[in-house]
Amino acid sequence: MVGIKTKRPRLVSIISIVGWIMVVMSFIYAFSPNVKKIGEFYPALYSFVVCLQFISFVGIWYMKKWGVHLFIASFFAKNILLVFMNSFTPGDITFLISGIFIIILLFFYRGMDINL
Amino acid sequence: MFSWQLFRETFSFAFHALVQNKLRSTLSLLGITIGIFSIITVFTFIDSLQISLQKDVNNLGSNVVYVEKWPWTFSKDYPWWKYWIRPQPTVNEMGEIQKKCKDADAVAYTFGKNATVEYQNSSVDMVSVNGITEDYNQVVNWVKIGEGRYFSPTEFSGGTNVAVIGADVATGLFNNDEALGKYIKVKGRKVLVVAVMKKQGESKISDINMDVSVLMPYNYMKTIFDTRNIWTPRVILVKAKEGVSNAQLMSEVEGVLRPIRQLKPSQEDNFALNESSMVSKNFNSLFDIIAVIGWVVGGFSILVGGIGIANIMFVSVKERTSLIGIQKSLGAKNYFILAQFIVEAVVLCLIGGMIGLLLIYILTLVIGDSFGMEFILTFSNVMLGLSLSAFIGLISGFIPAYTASQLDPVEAIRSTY
Repeated sequence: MVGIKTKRPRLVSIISIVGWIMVVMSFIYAFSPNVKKIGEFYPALYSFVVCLQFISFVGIWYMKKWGVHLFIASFFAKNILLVFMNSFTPGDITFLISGIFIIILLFFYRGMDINL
Repeated sequence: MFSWQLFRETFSFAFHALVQNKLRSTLSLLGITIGIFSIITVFTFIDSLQISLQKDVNNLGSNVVYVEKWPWTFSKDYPWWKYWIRPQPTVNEMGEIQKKCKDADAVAYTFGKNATVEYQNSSVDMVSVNGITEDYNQVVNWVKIGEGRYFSPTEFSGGTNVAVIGADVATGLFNNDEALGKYIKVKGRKVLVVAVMKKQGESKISDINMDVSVLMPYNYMKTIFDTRNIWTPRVILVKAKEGVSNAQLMSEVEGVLRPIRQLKPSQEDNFALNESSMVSKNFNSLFDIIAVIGWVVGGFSILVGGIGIANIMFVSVKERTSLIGIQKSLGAKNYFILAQFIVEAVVLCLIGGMIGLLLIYILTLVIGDSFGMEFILTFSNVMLGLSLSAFIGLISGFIPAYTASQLDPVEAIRSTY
């Protein structure tokens, strides 16, 4: 592997694994009949955001700063979409988990690699 | 950063890699094909059925309230004995509704019996013979006259022996001969045919089939059939005025009917007010269940397909490690290598998805031809299938692609795989 190799803290590994599990569950939801009912392009839009989240966790796994940026951006994009879908619940477990992830990731942000 | 030329090069690299391993590419895209085929077939089936049922529901009239003894939908533990002792709606009640309901545009009454209809040596069994009142054709959408005319007000009030017959009844009795002006026999009585309805087909949500029906003025019908028979279904149909909701109309009809039936405020209604949305709601919940089952089954196929693609992409990266090393040593950036493998995975999945969609399209044609059923692959389902394939490609191809992009050029060139 090229670039600066930063040792991955255990907490970041856990975040990435939990994140991937959440992404798989969200991806299944993205094409569910409920989302399809909302509008023709919602499944595609929603799954695009979920894909971005998946990619962001790959970046986080490799301790890349772009992973954190992408995760924060996709977190906001996903919740804006959920507002449009009338499914936004701030007390929702995935919302809370994502919020905690962002705080932890920002804590480790300085030690991450800036390159792709 | 990512110019058109770069995209072309990336695409060309990816395409060559796919063409070089034809069998492997074909086998790995099969999973996606099967997954897309399963999911989109279920969605297409449901959408087609919904379109077809919506037509039938519209035919029932979205702004028509049906006053009947029995409700169209029941809860699990419905007290059937309560409905059983209810009185049937009467023609006098229809008259009162007509007089007192300001929100009603048109009101009609009908009662029906099955009977054999005869003409000379020909006969048609189990024909639904319906006695109707004057505004019936204004309330319902299914009186579509093909040849002839609707009943005149005098024929309604005088109870003249005239009939409008369905397309299949006309074919059964007269074959291809002229039916208008001929006398058919209903329960041994001669009735003059004044019109033949257009062929309409069978309804999927109700037992209404106008092709095997005969309509007669109510005042004549009651002279040949016993209107007091408890097995005879009787219905008052009330059509709402423009801009009046069904809820408003129902409330008004209830307000008119309760005093007529002398119901105390504490007593429940002894009549049912039905509307077409009750039927569609029932079907919608059934469709939701089918869609979820289809989604779960197809979802697993897609998941397996995605894992297959990821596996193939890892193999592909391993195989081309030295090539990646050469590309990188010649100045290829990490994002170029990344894009190359991602495009390969996405293209592979898109081809798989397109084959799945093509199979569904062929299926729609075969089913349409063989069963005469309208089976439509909608644009939204095509979009859904393609985007699902592309995103599966992106997810399953990203990790192998990223691993490839992070390879050290020196180590990669030395690779002996």
